[in-house]
Amino acid sequence: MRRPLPVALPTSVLACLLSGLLGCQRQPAPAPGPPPGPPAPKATVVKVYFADPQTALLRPVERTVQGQNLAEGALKALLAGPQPDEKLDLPLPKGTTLLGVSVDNGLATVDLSKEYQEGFPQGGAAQTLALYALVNTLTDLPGVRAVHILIEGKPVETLGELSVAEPITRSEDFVVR
Amino acid sequence: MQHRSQLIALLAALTATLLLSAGTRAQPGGPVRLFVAGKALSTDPQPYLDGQTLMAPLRECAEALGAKVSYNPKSGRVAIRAADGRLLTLRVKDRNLFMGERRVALERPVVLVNEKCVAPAEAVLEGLGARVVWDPQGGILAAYPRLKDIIVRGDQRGLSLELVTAAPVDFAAHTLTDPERIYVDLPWAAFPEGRGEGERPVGVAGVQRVRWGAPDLEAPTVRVVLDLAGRAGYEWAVADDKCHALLFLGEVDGDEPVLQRFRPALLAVETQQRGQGVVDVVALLSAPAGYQYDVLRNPPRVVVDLPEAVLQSQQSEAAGDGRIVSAVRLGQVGQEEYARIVLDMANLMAFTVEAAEDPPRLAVRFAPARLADKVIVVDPGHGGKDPGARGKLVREKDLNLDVALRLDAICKEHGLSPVFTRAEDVFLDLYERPRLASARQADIFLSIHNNAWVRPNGAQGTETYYWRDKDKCLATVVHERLVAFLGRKDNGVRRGNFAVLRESPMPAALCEIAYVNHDEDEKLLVQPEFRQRAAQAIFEALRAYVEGPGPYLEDTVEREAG
Repeated sequence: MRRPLPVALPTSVLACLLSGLLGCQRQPAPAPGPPPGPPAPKATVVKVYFADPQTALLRPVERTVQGQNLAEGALKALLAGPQPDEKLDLPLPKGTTLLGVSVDNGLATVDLSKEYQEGFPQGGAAQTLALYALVNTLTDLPGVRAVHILIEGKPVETLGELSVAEPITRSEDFVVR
Repeated sequence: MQHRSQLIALLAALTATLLLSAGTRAQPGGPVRLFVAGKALSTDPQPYLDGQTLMAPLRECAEALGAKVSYNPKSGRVAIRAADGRLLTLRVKDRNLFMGERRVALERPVVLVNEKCVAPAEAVLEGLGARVVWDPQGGILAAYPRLKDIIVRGDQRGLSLELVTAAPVDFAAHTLTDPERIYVDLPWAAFPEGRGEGERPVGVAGVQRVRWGAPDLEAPTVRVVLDLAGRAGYEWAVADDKCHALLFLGEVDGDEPVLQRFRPALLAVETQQRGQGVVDVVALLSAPAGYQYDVLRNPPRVVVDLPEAVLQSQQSEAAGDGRIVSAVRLGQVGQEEYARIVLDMANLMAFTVEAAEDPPRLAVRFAPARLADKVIVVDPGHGGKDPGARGKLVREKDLNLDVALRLDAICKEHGLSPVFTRAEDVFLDLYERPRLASARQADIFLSIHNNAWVRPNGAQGTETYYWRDKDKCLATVVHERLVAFLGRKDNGVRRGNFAVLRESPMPAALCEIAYVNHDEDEKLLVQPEFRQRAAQAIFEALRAYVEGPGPYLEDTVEREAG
């Protein structure tokens, strides 16, 4: 049963995330502005994490994300892979696509296609980096503290040798110092 | 004792209030009621008893303590942001409450009633920083937000008093004359775990002392009193979150030195040598305090943090025993300026950290033992239909088993017989491995693996994984020996959520000897001598971890003979 999560976040939630506030009470009322038209695309610089063969760790690189949904933008930039001159590797299995991502009270829920599970790599380094590339990319965004992974809409117990039943918090152990 | 009498007083006050207001008394098996910070909580569905466990809707319980709740019906996950910013997560049909890295086992799983999440109320309310009192006779569960800290800052020009609670409280400041006093009441609040009334002299800017206690009021209340030398005006502010209150006397701002904190204090640290080679590093505290610890490398050290406690000692270091601990250092870290104890290790080995009361203290204990007395479970990764990572010439499962069998041979030479999860090329489910270790009541679980990068000839070297704090010492000792014996690239000790580590109740580590899909590593892995060195490194690591620096029993014999 394939039930992708909605990819778009409500703008009110996003405004809270952007401002770093978790409560929405302090959100200002929309100011009267120019007549409605298509909103200008908003460009934001985010960090995405790729695998660095020199250190067997993740190295953050900057990407510019258009639009308001930062979580979706950052994950798509991650899945697009590194530039050749960056000398980094994409630690996620080939063919993995993002089915949806939502952020709710600090917990990001990411829904990935079955390729992520089926092509999950062998080896402790490859496995942990395949997971923490996602987790660290998302937890760099304001208001995201932990990540829960779904495959085709369903929770899974394990990916490779790793236990992913519970939300996963950021780890700096996997980031180049 | 004081703890108990307070509890009785709380219950008595609460029951009296209820008797007056409701005029009824719940019968055993009758309806149960919830009170949060003195207010009856009406919930839909109503709270009920499942066995001895009071179940109540999560959202109403959490929001009553100022927390924010979100529920994802798709995944069944509930995320709660406590008033003090901590994140708690639960899941429908699950019995775990996660608070950061900490997991609390719930007495009953979270269930859905009328599409609302219902959970064991006591664990959730406690997790959100409340003191919870259950009166089975009256069928009443009452939650009181805990006072977290009293901070007194100041100098000769004035004084500020800051009060911090875990959940919203209706702070109220009052003055009294003859003698002059200012007091702040925190109605329906509770003291931190293990703390009661107390006082400290302040003696500056006309303030004689600060004291705190529980006045005999109808509502259980925490009261903080400033005894003044004379009449003084004050300013008073309560933050929007109702978790912080500030009282100013005279001209004082936040940069002034802290005169007193309610938080427990680290008073002194000393190393004690006990019989049988046991070494204790003992930290004396003013009151019980939570702690966490870590093991760091280069140089090896054990770090014990007391996130609730402040350093209140002129001492900045202490001697070690010289053989296991070379020196001990004390300090303060973080914005909160909490206390940290660093043990510089001469020889890193297994340790336990234990808290004790009367007097409140914390002991880091190194207790050398005989490897022969320990149950070691060795887990060669993969096997059977699961080959693990593949190189050009080798399969991970074969390497893992070969190193394990070599380790077995070395152990046998020393008269030891570790337990193996597999001794041949068979498939084992991930969960069978830790299950075997539990069944054998193992002291140590060590999984042997070889590594792979996402593509051939990417990364190379050795790394070792741990999951919990208690695993990290074992992982570090194993890793240091592997790097020293094999000379491959040191990729470090890392925290990884491997199922075999998470499910093993005893200290557990997973080593990745080298990369099968890197030519340089593989060239070595195919050599029996290299695999023998890996097995030798693991054996030396296990011995160092359990026995400490050298065979201590022989030393004892030598000393006695001499």
